[in-house]
Parts: sequence; C-alpha cells; structure tokens
Amino acid sequence: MRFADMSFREKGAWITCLALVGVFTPFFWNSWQQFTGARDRATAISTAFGLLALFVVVEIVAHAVLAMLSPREARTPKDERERLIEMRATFLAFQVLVVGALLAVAVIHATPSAWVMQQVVLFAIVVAELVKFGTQIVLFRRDA
Amino acid sequence: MGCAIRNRIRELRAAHGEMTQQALADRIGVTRQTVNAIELGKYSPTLEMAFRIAAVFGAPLDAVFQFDGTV
Repeated sequence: MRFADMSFREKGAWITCLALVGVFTPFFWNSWQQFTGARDRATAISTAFGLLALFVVVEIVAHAVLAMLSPREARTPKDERERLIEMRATFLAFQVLVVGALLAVAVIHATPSAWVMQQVVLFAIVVAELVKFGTQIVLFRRDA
Repeated sequence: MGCAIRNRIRELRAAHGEMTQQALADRIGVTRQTVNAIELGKYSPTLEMAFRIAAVFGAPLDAVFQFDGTV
C-alpha cells in the first residue's frame, strides 16, 4: 500500500506514530542519562524541553502540510468506520494507560522521587498514544 | 471487522456507468477506503449506511446486501 492510497486519517496516524518514536526515543534516553548521572540536570532539562517543543512543531507542521495536500479530506468529518477504528484504538490505549498509572503508583513506593514518577507517567502516556495510533494503523491496514 | 454480509456493490457500480468508489463515497458521505472495505466484505456498514448505498443505486436493501450467516 502506497502512502498516496491511504486515507487522510491513516496518514495522520502514521505522522503521529513516527513523531512519537522520533522525538520520545531521544527524550527518554536523555532522561535515562540524567538518572544515571551521565548528563547534568540543566542540560537534561533544556534537552527535554527542546524535544517537547520539537514534537509540537513537527505535529503542527506535518499535519498542516497533510491538510494542505488533501484539503477536501481534511474538511470531511470522520465516517462511521473511522470513528469505530478510533474507538477501538482508544479503548486499547486506555488499558495501557491504566497499567502505566498503576506502575507509577508502584514506583513512588520503590523510589520516593517525584522526577522518577513523572518520567514513568510520561512514558505511560507516550506508550498509550503509540498503542492508540499503532492500533489505528493496523485496523486501517486490515480493512484496506 | 470481517462479516457474514455479502454485497453486490461492485456489480451495481459497474451497472451505473462504472461509478467509481470515490463517487459512491462522496454520495454517501464516507471515505473511498470505507467503500472499498464494505465492498470487500471487511467492514459491515450500519443500517443507515446500508440504506444510503441502496438508495444511491435505487435498489431495495436486499438487492445490495445479503446475509450469509445463520441465526
């Protein structure tokens, strides 16, 4: 299946998935380095904020370009199949988020550090989003 | 999202001047990919969508969709 044959929503899901992997892999690597002491706090914090800003910019620019390339599809509301796919993907992502939240609760007992808990919660959110958009891609592919 | 509902959409599109999937999608308010998924039997449309498709072809519902399963 070529990119051009995909629906507007599937292209959007691919963009978000790639942006999540591309930005949050170095983000959590940066956090790990801060945790192990390989990177000082100030550098790690500025890198983390830089990567978060990069994610926002990539998302806005990529989705804007996608909408400009397919203006009609961008204006069309989601149809019933797309809504069903989104609901299934969100349901699955929510389960992942719940597990992540429970993990964060466990972590706060093991390591009484707000920073570690913050990283665990962020990680759970990112993984849940990956599951959400990844599931959407799988379901779009399965029906194609 | 596989289903036990067969359909004659491909045949009916051909009978209606080789109507494209995109043209049918525009008439019923869905994406071309959704029409394709319905046509291939990979997605069962809602009752409302099924009636819309039948209306486009000016055919009764059971001339477009047939249930293959058992009750």
